[in-house]
Amino acid sequence: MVTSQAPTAGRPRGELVLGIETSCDETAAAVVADGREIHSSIVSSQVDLHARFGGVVPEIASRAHLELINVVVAEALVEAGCDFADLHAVAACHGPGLAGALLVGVSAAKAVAVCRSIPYVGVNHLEAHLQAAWLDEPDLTPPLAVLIASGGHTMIVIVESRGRYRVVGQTVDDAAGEAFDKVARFLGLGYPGGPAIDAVATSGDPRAVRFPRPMAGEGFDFSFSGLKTAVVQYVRKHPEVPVADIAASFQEAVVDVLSTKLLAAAEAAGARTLVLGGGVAANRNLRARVDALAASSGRRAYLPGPALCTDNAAMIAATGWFRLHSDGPTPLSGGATPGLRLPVVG
Amino acid sequence: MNLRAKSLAGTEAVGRVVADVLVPGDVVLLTGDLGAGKTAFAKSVAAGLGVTEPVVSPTFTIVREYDGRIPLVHVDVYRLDHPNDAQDLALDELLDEGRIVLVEWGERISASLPADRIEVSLGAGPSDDARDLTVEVRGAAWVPRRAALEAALRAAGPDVGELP
Repeated sequence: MVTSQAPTAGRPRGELVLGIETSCDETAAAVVADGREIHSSIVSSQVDLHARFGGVVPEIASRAHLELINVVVAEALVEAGCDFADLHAVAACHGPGLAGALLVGVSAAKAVAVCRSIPYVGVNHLEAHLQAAWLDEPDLTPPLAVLIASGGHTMIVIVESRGRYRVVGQTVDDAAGEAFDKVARFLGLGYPGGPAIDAVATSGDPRAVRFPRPMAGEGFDFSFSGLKTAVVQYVRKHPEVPVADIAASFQEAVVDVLSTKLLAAAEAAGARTLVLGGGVAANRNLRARVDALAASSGRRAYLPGPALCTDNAAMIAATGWFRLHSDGPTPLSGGATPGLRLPVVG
Repeated sequence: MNLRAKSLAGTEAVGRVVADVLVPGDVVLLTGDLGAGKTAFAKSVAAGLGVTEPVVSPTFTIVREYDGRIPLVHVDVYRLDHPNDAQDLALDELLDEGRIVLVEWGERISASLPADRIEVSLGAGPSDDARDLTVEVRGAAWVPRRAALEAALRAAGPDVGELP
């Protein structure tokens, strides 16, 4: 299934960057002008394929990326109303992510760069999530307190300016999205776990079970492994409690910890704006809570739509454009780095 | 050898004892259900090996590598359902003589792993924080090392007891 975001009407102008994202389970391509105007953003969801396995299986992921990459890139160009010849540069996510999957996108991007003699830019996936905010909201004023929460990452980043980041907190064990996936699998709710729990939790009581809030009041780091264990132990002892109540109470604990720490980090850094990114940012409960916390603390909440929160290539194209202008192109000898970290200041 | 850890500290003590006997090239299989304490055990092995950076779940990335007294490769095959996937992981490259490889959910790919290895399984104990552990060694290379490992486990401290 190939889905797309509504493109901007008319013939594209400005510096067009083709972005490619293949770090995990989405094959995505997008055309963005001047790092802010989305002309196309195509995401080919592989969730159906992975549903059988309860997670992302790396070899399946790279094989599927390989089958989809040319289709998705062609679709992004057609929808943007342009051709390879119109491109100013090409950007691909080069980490962090699954090695085989990353290489598909990086290799495709380099091939385009070589054939068209245009610059190639390797983009950090985490930085792209941070920069996604500017795609919807060009007037965003730093400092921002950003929570990135997904299947593989959970961190709070203070964005001092576009391109200057400080990681003030991160998970010490499982990522928030991973906890959603594992608890959903344990409760028999299917994959992906975030939407599955979000959906079933609406009919449950979030106060039915008081699950622990790991590391609450202990700085800005997170821990979700113990919470997952607490859910498993509770369900074994109380099999009679409805799954909806367990799901709602678990979600409540995660949302409570994520939102409270984001606000505390913003207060400590003097950030007036709270931003969400990553797949978990699509959780309706988390969005509502962050909105409420921002309002009650006199701050602004900026919550990009799910299409920009989840993995997409528009954020790669936008960040590629930004980095091309700040640091220049990436050498074609540059590879993919599965454990790549966010470039930070200080 | 069957052990009971009375607390998280006990589970961690077993992890440190195992780390102390490991030498470069060793392979550790870690098995146990969701919430059994594999993450906590893996963290204590890493701490025992002198890893100072945070050890986080490798579920999403499948493989994470750490520098310690002996380099540690932390693998999680939770998301692999077929033995062939182990080949796709390039497991041969990970099983380097200079490093220690710790595999969570390792029973799923045990046929692809070396015959010489330690297997640690974690299960629920009599209380929420307690765990019953089984530590077994396999392969000829472990025969001469077995007695020292078991003696060290018996001396793991007050939070660890031997079960019949």
